[in-house]
Amino acid sequence: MENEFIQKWDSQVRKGVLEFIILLMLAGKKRYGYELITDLKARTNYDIAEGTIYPLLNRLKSDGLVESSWEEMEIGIPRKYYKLTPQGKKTLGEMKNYWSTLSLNIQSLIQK
Amino acid sequence: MISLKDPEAREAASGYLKKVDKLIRSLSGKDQEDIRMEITAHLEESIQHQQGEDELKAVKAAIHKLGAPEDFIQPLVEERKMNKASRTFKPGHVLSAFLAGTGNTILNMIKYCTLSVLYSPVLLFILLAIAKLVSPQKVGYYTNEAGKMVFFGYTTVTVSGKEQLGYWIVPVFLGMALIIYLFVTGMLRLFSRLMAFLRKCIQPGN
Repeated sequence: MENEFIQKWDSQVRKGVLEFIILLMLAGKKRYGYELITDLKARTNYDIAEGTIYPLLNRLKSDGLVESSWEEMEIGIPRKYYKLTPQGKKTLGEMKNYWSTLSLNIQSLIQK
Repeated sequence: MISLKDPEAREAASGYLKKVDKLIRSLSGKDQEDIRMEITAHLEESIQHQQGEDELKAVKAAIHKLGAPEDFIQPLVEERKMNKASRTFKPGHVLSAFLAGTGNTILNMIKYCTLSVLYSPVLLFILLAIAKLVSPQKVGYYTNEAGKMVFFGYTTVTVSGKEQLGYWIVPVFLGMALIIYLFVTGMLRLFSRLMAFLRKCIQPGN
């Protein structure tokens, strides 16, 4: 029962921070979908289908936090690159502050 | 298109992309091309990174990693339809967003019937405007001697009272049709946004 509870909780936490992680990965560098999701899975242990990156990126784009552009490659199919908009950078900054505060608060509760 | 030598591998990749095409066909041509190119590019690069595998195994592995199109294309389609509906009052876009997110035939039938009922007053007022032009003596706004309205609309019998608007009733009917159209469409947009929000709350990972 406890394992099941932890699994559900873990799933909810991961879902909740996924957009934050994607924005962090786009900070300072434009990236395309395949690159983003493979890097994300390599750095974290998110077990998600690679295709799920696309509705997430589309939502971030709808929210005005990222923008996209197609770039021709020397060989192969063009790639669609994503990068943060000025609004996206500002929002990421706020999210980082929020995360720092939250982490400190939780850590202080753990240490009690 | 992804270049593969093995015909079975080509078939597997092509089959997957056909599923994607089927799911995105309700979008505009531009959006379809955009999504198709992005998924094709992803699939191509994933296949290339399956080192040491024969082509068919590489394609199958890439498809498995990408995931079932139904799982990630549908939320993408809904999002795009919602974006379009939020920028326009065109009934086609709003209708499309309103109907997005369900493959339930019965539910779609209920939605179509609801839409017919909601938009029927719009059609009614347009028909009244046309009727005034065709049979002006049968359509009008009638008042009694005290100025109180006794009839408004289309009649096949003689109405007591005096018709007040003449052909000016045509723009009145058209104006009422427009107001109702904007109101119903606005409500549908709000409802579609609410449904999308509730779906996100239920499935936050999407």
